[in-house]
Amino acid sequence: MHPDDRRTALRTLSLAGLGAALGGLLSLLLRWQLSFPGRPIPLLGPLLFPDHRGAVPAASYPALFTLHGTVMIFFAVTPALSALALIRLPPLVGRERPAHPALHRAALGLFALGLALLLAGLHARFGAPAFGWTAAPPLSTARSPGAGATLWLLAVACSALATLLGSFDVLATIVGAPKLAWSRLPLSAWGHLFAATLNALFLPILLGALALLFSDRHLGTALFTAPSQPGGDALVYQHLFWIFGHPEVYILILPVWGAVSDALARAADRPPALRRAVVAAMAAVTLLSGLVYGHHLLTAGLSPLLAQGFMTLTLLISLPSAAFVASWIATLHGASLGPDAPASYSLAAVVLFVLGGLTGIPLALVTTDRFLHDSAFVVGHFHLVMAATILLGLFAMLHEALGRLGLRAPSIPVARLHAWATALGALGVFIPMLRLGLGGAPRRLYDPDLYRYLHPLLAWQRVATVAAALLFTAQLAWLVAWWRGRR
Amino acid sequence: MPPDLSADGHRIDALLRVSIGLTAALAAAFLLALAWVVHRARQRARTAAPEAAAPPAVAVALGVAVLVFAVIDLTLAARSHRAALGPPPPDALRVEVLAQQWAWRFRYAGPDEVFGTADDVTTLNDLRLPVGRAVALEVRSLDVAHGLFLPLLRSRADAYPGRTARTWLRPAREGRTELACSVLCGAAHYQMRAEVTVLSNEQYTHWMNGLSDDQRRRAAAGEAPPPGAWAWGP
Ligand SMILES: [Cu+2]
Repeated sequence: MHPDDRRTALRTLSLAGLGAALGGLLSLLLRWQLSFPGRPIPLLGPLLFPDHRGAVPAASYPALFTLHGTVMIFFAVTPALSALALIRLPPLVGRERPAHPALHRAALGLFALGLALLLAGLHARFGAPAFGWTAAPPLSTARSPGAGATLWLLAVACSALATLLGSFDVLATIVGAPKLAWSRLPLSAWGHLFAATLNALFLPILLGALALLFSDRHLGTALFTAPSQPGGDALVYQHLFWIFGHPEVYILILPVWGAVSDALARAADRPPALRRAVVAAMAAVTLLSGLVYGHHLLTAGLSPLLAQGFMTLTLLISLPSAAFVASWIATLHGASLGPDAPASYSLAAVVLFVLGGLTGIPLALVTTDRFLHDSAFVVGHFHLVMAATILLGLFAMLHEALGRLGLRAPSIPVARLHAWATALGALGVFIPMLRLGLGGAPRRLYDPDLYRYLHPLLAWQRVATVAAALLFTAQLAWLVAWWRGRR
Repeated sequence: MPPDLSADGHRIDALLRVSIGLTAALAAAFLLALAWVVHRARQRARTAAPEAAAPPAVAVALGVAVLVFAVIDLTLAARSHRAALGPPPPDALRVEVLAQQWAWRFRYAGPDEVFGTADDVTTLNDLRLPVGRAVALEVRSLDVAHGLFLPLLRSRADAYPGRTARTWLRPAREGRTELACSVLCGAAHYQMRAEVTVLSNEQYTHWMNGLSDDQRRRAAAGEAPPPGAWAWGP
């Protein structure tokens, strides 16, 4: 690997690791508050919240989950995938270097600038941004005075621009590869290609939505506010945001699907089963991803016909998803599978993906979504996919990428233990969330104890918190094992 | 699922049970198949047994898996469509709900059931409903987006400022329950809670008449209205 690319990739990965550590730590604070509402956090509490006896203050809670979601999506998973594309892609398409490595260098700078702006926003007057990672107006505009929210807008815009630049490089690297044979393009490359395509299509919409929020905040417009003035409509932002927000899920998971397919095939020493069907399924998901966003608005008063349409299209995502899982099972059928680190991560990822994908069905149905919308069930569902499956998929990719960076990956037994501890931890965190949602627990609630009907569910909150601690510890253990044997 | 106090919640609960059951069954099928295949593959690696060729029917299995999902998807979509609540009956009791950071105001049309007359009644964080009668709720927001969520009455409507959200329900059992705000609306979002009481028809009429007389008398005496008793726009 070219030393310049290596440096860019290593730095981008380190930034993503930093983001993931921060996001993970924040999730532990959230978990603690949900299972022991109002009680002081052990160890960290007195340092973070000295004025509140070490307990999470009610006003800080929304800021904590806003930062958790923003960091994890825009400054952990996204830069990690950008770096992994830079490392993995050139050899997959028979190139020495990516087409435009300078784009990835610029992306690194923008990611770093964005993270710095985001963290600067925590200390802004009138407090840190506290409107959730979707930044719905007018909560994020008229009702969020101070620089914190503006810095949040700029930070996310930096991440979006960085991702766009990286995606342009990915597209140019694949499409411009000399001697490119589409019929032999590895599934990993297809994953990066489709993800980059979605980035190029939908990130501009996010940037547009952010620009309009900025305009409402600073240029005196009332595009998304002011019920008294005709013209402004907060619901328009919801459409804009989710037109990007739903494809974002597939942007993050398409490379994982490709990597899992290739890792299992390599471990089984045979080509991926039904390769062309998998490419077709990826294409189908890419296409559908832009047509299903309305399921985020099923309870916002869509016309019944529109709601039915979005429901049916959303359910159809299960067809290509079933094709992926069928292909993975077929790849291993009759094969011989020795100990292999990326394969272990991939298998764990498949388990989590099966559960995460299938729990989307009750959410897609208009009727059951009336009960489950904005509940802990939603949080459990999308974390099974976006946190657990993607984390395991990233490790499957990272394990090989470390070799190309000239670093030693942890041993196979360590990797296997880590993969299954992570999977178990994730199941322990997110299955209780599904249960909580079925019990009617709304998400983003600082103190569920205020509601009588939620009292019987407190034990599930505690199970999730214990499992979250296990999940976090497993990541620390991996880091220690890797650091000690890295050279 | 928490207890159901409504007459129509069973539609949601039944479909929820079916879809969760299917989700669990399909997950079990996929994961067992995966576990079996991986177990055999690991055995082969340990015993150095020869690999079996991939069965020729793989493409068929994939086709079947996709087809099974297509059938399940369409069946569930059709069931969801059939379970839809439709518009409220015309004789439904109408209640206007005004959400704001961080409280719920409810306005009833009073004993005469006509809005905008002197016997209108408003309450703060206190929603009382007669058992057995359909109730149509119209929800508006004064500031940011809020979410009206009645878990035990299986009802929900998200209210965006400048828009009117509608939902309706039919309480089937008397009792006390809670209403939560389900859309993040700021620092005290978690406290945006209202008591919900389903009363017998006699109790409800008694409460409504008493409250209406009381609020009218206070207004006539020029007294400051009780919390929540102010006029809001059409
Ligand atoms: Cu609210």
